[in-house]
Amino acid sequence: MKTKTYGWLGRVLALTTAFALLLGFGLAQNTTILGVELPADAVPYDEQVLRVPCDNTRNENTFDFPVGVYTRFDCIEELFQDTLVDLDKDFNVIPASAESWSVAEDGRTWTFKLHEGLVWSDGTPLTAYDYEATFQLTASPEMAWDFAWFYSFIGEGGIENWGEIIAGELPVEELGVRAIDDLTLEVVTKGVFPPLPGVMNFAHVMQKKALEEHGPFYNNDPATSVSSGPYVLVEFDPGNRIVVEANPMYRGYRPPNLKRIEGIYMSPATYFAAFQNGEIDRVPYERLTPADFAIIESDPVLSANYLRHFGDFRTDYLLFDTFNPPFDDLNVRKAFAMAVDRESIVANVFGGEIKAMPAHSMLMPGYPSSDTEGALAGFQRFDCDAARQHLADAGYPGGDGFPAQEMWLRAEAPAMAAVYQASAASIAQCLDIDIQVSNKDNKVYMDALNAKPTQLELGAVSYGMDFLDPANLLGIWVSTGRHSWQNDEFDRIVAEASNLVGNPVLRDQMFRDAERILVDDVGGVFIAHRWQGDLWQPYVLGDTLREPDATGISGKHWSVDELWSDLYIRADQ
Amino acid sequence: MTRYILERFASLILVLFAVSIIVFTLMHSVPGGPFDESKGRLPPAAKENILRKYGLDKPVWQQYLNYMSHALRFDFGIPYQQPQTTVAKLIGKTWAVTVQVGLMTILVAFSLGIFAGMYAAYHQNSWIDNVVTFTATLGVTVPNFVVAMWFILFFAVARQWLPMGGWSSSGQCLIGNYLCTDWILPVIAYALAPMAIVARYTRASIVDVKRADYVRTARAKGVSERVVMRRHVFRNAQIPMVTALGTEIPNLITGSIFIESIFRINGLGKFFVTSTLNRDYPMIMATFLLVALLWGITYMLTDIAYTWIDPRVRLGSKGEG
Amino acid sequence: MADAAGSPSPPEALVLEGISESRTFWQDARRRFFRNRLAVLGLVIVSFLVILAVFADLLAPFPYDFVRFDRVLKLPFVFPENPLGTDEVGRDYLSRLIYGARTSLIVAFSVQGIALLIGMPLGALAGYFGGRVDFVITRIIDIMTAFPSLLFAILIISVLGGGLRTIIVALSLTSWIIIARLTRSQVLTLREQDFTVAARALGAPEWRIMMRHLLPNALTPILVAVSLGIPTAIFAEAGLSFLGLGVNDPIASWGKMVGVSNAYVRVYWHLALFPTLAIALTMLGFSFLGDGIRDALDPKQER
Repeated sequence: MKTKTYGWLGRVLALTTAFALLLGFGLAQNTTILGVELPADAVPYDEQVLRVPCDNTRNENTFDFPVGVYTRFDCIEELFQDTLVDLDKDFNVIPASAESWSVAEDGRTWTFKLHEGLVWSDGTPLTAYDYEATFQLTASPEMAWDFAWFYSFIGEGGIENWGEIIAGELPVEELGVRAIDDLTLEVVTKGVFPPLPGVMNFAHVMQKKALEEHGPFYNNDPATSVSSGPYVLVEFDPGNRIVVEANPMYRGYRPPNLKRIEGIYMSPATYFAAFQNGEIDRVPYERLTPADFAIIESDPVLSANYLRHFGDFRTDYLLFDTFNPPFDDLNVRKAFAMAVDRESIVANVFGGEIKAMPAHSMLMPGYPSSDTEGALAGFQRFDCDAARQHLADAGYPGGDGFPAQEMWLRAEAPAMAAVYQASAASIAQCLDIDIQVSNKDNKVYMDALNAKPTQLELGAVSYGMDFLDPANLLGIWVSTGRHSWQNDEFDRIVAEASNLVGNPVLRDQMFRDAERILVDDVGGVFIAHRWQGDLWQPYVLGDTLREPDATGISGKHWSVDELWSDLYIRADQ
Repeated sequence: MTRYILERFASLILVLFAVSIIVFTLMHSVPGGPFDESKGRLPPAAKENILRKYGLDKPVWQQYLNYMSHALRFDFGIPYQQPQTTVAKLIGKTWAVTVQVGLMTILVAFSLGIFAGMYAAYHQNSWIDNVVTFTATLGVTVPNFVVAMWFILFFAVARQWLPMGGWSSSGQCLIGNYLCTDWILPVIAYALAPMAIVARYTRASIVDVKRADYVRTARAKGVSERVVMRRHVFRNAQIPMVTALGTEIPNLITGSIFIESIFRINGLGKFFVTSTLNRDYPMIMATFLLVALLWGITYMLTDIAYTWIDPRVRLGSKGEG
Repeated sequence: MADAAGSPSPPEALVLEGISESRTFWQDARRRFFRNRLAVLGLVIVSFLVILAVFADLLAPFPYDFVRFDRVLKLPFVFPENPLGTDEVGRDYLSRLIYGARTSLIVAFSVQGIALLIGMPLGALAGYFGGRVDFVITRIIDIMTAFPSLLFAILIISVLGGGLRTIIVALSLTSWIIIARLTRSQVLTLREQDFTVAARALGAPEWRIMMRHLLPNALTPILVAVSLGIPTAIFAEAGLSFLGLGVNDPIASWGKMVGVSNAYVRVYWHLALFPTLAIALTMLGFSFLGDGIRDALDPKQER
């Protein structure tokens, strides 16, 4: 169905063929502006419009990841550019702007070859120099990029000279991301970092020329906006409406079926009502209240069109200050871990399997090196008697003498707060101890958690992946990370496995061993893995959206940008 | 009169300065800033870059002087949350919504309140009077978010007659983006308390004046009831109503955090809460100063309005707190 | 009369010394109060609340923090043991409502108590000494009046970090002003009156005059202010908790219950209905009582 010819010539050929067909058969063919034929059940091309809700309470100011990760227009994103690589539904790294990549013998120097013939919507060819300029933009101290930590966080030392450049010690030209020629981009990391290609899913691109002429916000005005992605900006009125249309100059790997996407601003609380009125075509899960879910689950059409996905493989867990009493005692931690009735909490408080699955470890089943077999389920299981025994072994029989605790939450909305409150209640009730739950604001919480030594004795929080490799979700648990838990064996294995090249089987096993240590030594108490998802109108179709992945899960997976190419609107309404 | 106004104005400016110092100190003593550390501690260099970008690398007193020197030139800075715009523009945008809510509320509260109060006063001790008194008591005592919740329970949940929330965003509108069905619940919920106060004042003052000697005299002289009402009763009943206006209007036009949050209206009040959570220092400062200024001015105007309505009231009594 | 409501009643001895005819004054006040039907209704409601708050442990069918995960979000009467249903964590809603009365009253009485402790001395100092002392205190009052009290409370809570104690502090910071202002104006008028002048002429020390003569006489309007300040504090606690800035879980607070219910109300209406009724009833009770006390103590003032 998708044409995957990238060559300029091939594209021209396809276009002329389409044109000829159009001439030959009149308007019988339903084809897109790029000449792709729409499926037989699609509405006419002019009506191929997707309407998505935009949050009018969000603080946002850019379309571009390299400008502000936390301030993007989150309803219309990733559409004005293709990243170097993409992920497919099974999370394999697939070519996007780059057609191939390789690593030098030192394991640190990566070379990405761009597809030939990629072009910006103003006709300028897309080159490796655009990527280079974009990386330099994000590293420049004046830019003060909000995501600047990321490229010093991957692997040991991150991208070469990244830290020195953001500290102002070296000029941006020294960055370990360089264009060798128009089609060759070189990325050098300080240490050996095998998952680098997958991370290049974050390698967005902005046009060097536009950056120089109009500055980093050039996409905020249809007049200066320039796109190398499947859509171009045609209307920009944030707070009211943002409209993008298929980019007639697009030469990339994901030509769109849709003619336009309209972002309609509304209060997030009214998304579901607007959806039920047929005003919008999609509601993301985080905008659905528990009451909305109750309505969805009792309606066969709605529940069939609520498509779960892995999202960012987010896990909810409790964390401790294990360097000080009482949580320096493994028995106390084990008592807590075994006192949480995860199954009941997930089934009743969280909202059941549509929203979450009970967690016994950090990595959600489906994530690389995760415990899909349930081999780790025994360590952190609900067993109140065993929990009480552990607490007694720690010197607090029947909870006597155990200091009252205040468990902190990080600015949780009522539905998630309920899950953590239930976890605290489960522990308090089983162990007969006193736990209060205090919902702090994000900044206060993170300040206490990040402090060294930590000021957070007991807290609940969630973490979703930054990139798809156990080095990420297990890496945050090493003793130099944000948690106050130290296990030298764990640190050693994670460090070794992260840099291990050439033996994927061993690497996988090492991460599994590390996770076993994490749950056995109770670095955290793992409560739930979140299912994320979207509610779609039944007439929005598309293989990437509707076809299940290898584990049987359908829906838009994390960072599967390909989705935007094969979505289309069905005609039978 | 001019002297009095000038005096009041001077003290208002002093108060605004004090407010600015206190708020500035308080908000800078909270952890966090315009950066995100929700993944973990930022590398020091990355954090310093952000702080420098927002001018937060200098000592607090210097930041304060810097802020004030700009504020005095009506430059209130760039909101951290939306660096593409200015604080003035953003306040203008959000406050516009709040003012819409407030004006509608004032309209409803005062027209219905005066009407109900007058009606009750003329039909003293009738069942209508009792209903008005009862509703007024309820309106004053029951918090508006409670009333709002009842409205939602009944009009949006039990009978799906009206939208649950939003402002010009989730209902039909009469004219463009104005007078929409989603305006009804928030305005009535918000208007109930001021309406009750106005009705109470109106009723009480009309009842008082009706009993007053000069009204009786006028009536005895054979002046028609209508004229008595217009010339004496209503005129004298204006003073308590101005008081009610004076205390209610600043409240109404600076908005209710509760009403805005329960009906999900993106007004000034709700924005203040997000600004606090986001440590958006310029926005927090601007909100406080705006509200303090509005209150100060309305108090002043109320006092001046007294003299117009009732020449007996003299301004400028010293020593009153 | 004030005993049942828990409001501080003036020490009899002081009152006697202050005004000679005080006995009949208080007797009159009591008579006026009990003749007022709404005031008595208010007293009944408030007494009921106080009983709920004090004896919550005996009256509530379950502890406020007791959870049952097989009974999450149950509507009223689905289970006979949970006549008002259960909440989003699986706790009995009736029990939490009863304990909510305790939170409301603790906050209200503490806030008014602190307001008295700060406001009366400051107001008395300003009124009695006048001059520079008065100027400073009056300016402080002016500045504090300029703060929108709710916004100020939110800012304070974000500095101090939530919880029951912080709420009490945040609310006390603005509620002493009205007391101070009242005390000041009362003392201002009283200090020129005969008995004060006489005491001063007899050489009584200033602080003694203030403690024995001025404050007791200023007490009536302050008592009225406090009785009307209590519902304001209850409203403020409920409001802050509603915004999610309130007490810690699992402590029950009506305001918090209403705030949380917003996300559930489309299906689980009981979460919103019962705590709003409780707040409304409490506010009505205290307002009736406060109005009753005012009318009884200050018969000249018209409603």
